[in-house]
Amino acid sequence: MDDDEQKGYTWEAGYAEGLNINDVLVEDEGGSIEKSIAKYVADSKRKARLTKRPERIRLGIMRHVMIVIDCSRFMTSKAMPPSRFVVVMKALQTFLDRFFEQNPIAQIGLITCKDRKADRLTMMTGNIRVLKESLNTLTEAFCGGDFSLQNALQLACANLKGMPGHVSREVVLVISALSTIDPGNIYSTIETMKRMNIRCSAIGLSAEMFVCKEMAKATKGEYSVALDPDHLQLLFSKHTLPPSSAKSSECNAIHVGFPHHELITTRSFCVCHPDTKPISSRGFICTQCGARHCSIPAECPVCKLTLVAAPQLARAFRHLQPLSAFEQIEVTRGFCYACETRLSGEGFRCGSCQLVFCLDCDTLLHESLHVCPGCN
Amino acid sequence: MSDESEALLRVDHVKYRKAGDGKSPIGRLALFTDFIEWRDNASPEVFTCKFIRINGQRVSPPHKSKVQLQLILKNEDQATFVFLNPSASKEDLVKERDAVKEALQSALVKHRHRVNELAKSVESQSKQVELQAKQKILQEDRNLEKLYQNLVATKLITPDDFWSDYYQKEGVSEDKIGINGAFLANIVQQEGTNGVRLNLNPEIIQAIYSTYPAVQKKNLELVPHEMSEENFWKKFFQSHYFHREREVLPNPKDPFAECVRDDEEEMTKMTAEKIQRKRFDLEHIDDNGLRDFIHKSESQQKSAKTTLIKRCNYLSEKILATSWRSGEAAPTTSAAANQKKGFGVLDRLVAETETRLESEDLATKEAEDEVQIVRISSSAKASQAKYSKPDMTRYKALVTDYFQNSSVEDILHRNEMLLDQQEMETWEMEEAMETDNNEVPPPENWCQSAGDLAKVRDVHSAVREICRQFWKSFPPIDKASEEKLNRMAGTLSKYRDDIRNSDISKENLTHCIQMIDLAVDKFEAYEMKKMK
Repeated sequence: MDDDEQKGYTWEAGYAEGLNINDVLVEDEGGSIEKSIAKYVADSKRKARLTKRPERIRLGIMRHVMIVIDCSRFMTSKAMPPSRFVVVMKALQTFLDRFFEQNPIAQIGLITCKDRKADRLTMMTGNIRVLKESLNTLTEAFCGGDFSLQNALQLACANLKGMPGHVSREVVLVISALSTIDPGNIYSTIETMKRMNIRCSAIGLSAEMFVCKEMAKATKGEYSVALDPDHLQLLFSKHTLPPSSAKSSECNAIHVGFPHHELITTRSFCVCHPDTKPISSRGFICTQCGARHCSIPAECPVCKLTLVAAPQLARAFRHLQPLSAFEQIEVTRGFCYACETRLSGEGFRCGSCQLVFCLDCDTLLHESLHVCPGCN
Repeated sequence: MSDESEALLRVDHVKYRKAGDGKSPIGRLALFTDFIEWRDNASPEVFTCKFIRINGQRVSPPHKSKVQLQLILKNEDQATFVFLNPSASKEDLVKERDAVKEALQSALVKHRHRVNELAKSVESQSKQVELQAKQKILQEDRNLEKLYQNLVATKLITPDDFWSDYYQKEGVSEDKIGINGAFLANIVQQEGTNGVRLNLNPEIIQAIYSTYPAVQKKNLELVPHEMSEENFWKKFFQSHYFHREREVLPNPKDPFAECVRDDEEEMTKMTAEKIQRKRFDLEHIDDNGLRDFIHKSESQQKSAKTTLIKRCNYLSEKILATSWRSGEAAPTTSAAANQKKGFGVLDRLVAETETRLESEDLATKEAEDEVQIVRISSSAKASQAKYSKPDMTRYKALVTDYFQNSSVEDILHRNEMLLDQQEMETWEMEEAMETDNNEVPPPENWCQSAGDLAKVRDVHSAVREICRQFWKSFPPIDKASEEKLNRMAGTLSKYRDDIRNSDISKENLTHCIQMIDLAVDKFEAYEMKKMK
């Protein structure tokens, strides 16, 4: 009788075995599970690399994304050193760079949620400099109070309401709080977001919340919880890819201008540096209204025409036909086809030309170049 | 004033005890929404008392022979009414008087509530706030102020047009906040010498009012007439109403005694309300057939723990109720038994979860939802240069050689030297010549003085702003935007003439004229098309 009590009931043991907790979270000698978390993150990276992205489906390329940053007291927690706030800010800076690289004609707006109130930090803009500057104005001392999911969603909704129908509307929330304190019924807000075709995704920093999961499920967004700073970067980079567009969004032909990069011969001020002077004597003249710009892609503030360079728009093409994932194989000899380094252990083989590449080349090809040098 | 509103209550045979000499006359007492009035039967005398003047009321003790009601007014005055219906018995008179007292009390409370609301709304006059916000925006941004001066003051652009872009009421912030479950526990406390000092601010008070509406009612009744605000809150926190061990019946003189009783009633009602969940319905799957035959006494251990648990649950329910109240009043479609308003979505979710036969967590990942196929013609492919095998190996060897043997500096310099020196120089000269001919001097050199340059800058911004207003109203969708379009086109030509005739040098204005020309041309093309 004593023996049984110490071991616990048999059905308990059987239940725990099935869960495989000990396999997933292996404790090392000190009792720490950091190694297994790192392993899990590396696994997800590998899985992300190997998943087959769907080809030739309709994507929302003109994206308007509102990023909601949780500025509640939970962000000051030191669970992710030096503090969650610092980690998120760093991740956001890299995210902004990568995002505008992959989506040149998209726009981002920033919202902070502090003390149960939501405030708009920056309006929707395609100007990465403005966004980075506003991010720099946020400090950890600014954080406090509680988080309100409903206010954040309602504010994002108010900002996305005016957008035309062909635009892909998204909200990405970075939540560190474990609860939300709302003035009304959160589920009706989720319904509203669903009705307006706004895709709400969330990245959690502490634990999974039911209400966030439901929100992501209802609006066809993604919800995951970051385990450590690397994992957070990985989750952010998932959002740089354009989402598949919903059936209900309209498809219109959009008016776009393709100005040439030319030497400006008239005395003029540019719209991007109104207080000082244009940064160079070469610039772009808006094809519709004649305003001067220093760089594109841009949305002309005078006539609201989207100005892009053709190669930038062609970049969108790569999302439509992504380079298919390479198969990971065991190799003990041979050289990488691209960089001629000796292969040891793992190699990645292209599905169509059967050439093998090393890990670095594989990353480069999939993240930057998007072509396989061996395929013709 | 007297007969505008319907009287809430009228009582006959009421004697009004006048302060002065003479026999007190008998008349009729009438209660209205904002005041109470007494009319003399015999003479045309009328006594009116507005509610704002009334501090409180008193009744005569039951053992006295006379049935009286006394109003206590602000400036220490009193007005006494005696209920003297000759045909009615004493109990009836007492009942009549009590009816008047109750009606007066509730009317007073409503009136005070109205006054408070009015005061609050006058403070936050939205128009004033807007004006102040706009002034602040102009103060903070000099450029905007200049634009405003140049364009709105000179009537080139209407203020509405200007502010519709620069002042945004919506989409800036969301202010309505919910109530934290721990708000009572979070009140800042300071240990004083003889007790505890609590810091209350309007936010906490508002939270208490929304969670416990009875307290708000009490506040309206008692403050500032019977006790000061400070006293009221002291009594609130001291009262058994707030303490968790409320086994002892509360002191009847305690103003919150009736609140306590009401709360108990509500709590028992809440526990009686049942939530039906098919999966958690243990009684449904219970197979103890003898349950109905065995009578177990419902032993409710009246320990401090159960009271505490009840109170915690009650607080949570009240806080949730505040969000239902402020939320939509949309009726739920699900079972009427579930009285929770506005939670139709959650109910639907629950219903979906319960009727589902398969577990979501154990299901294999289903295929991605609706995607739309895009047809891309195979000709839309980038072309790739093809290299023959010997070429390929040669290039590869070259590149690897570079990377392994030279530093970055070397590679760059080496490339430069590969170009023909002569060619390089001619190319540079050509570039220089081209820029000399067409080069635009930097803005500092455009004008004689900085003041002139500032004027030119202003003109440029003004042109940009007018063009922006023009392009915003293009293409016009309704009568209003058509009007605006015509107006802006007129403004543009007028402005163009203005700056042409001004004393700014032509060169500095070329770009502006170009922009205006583009807009005017577009307008004219549009007009032509319209006429066809």
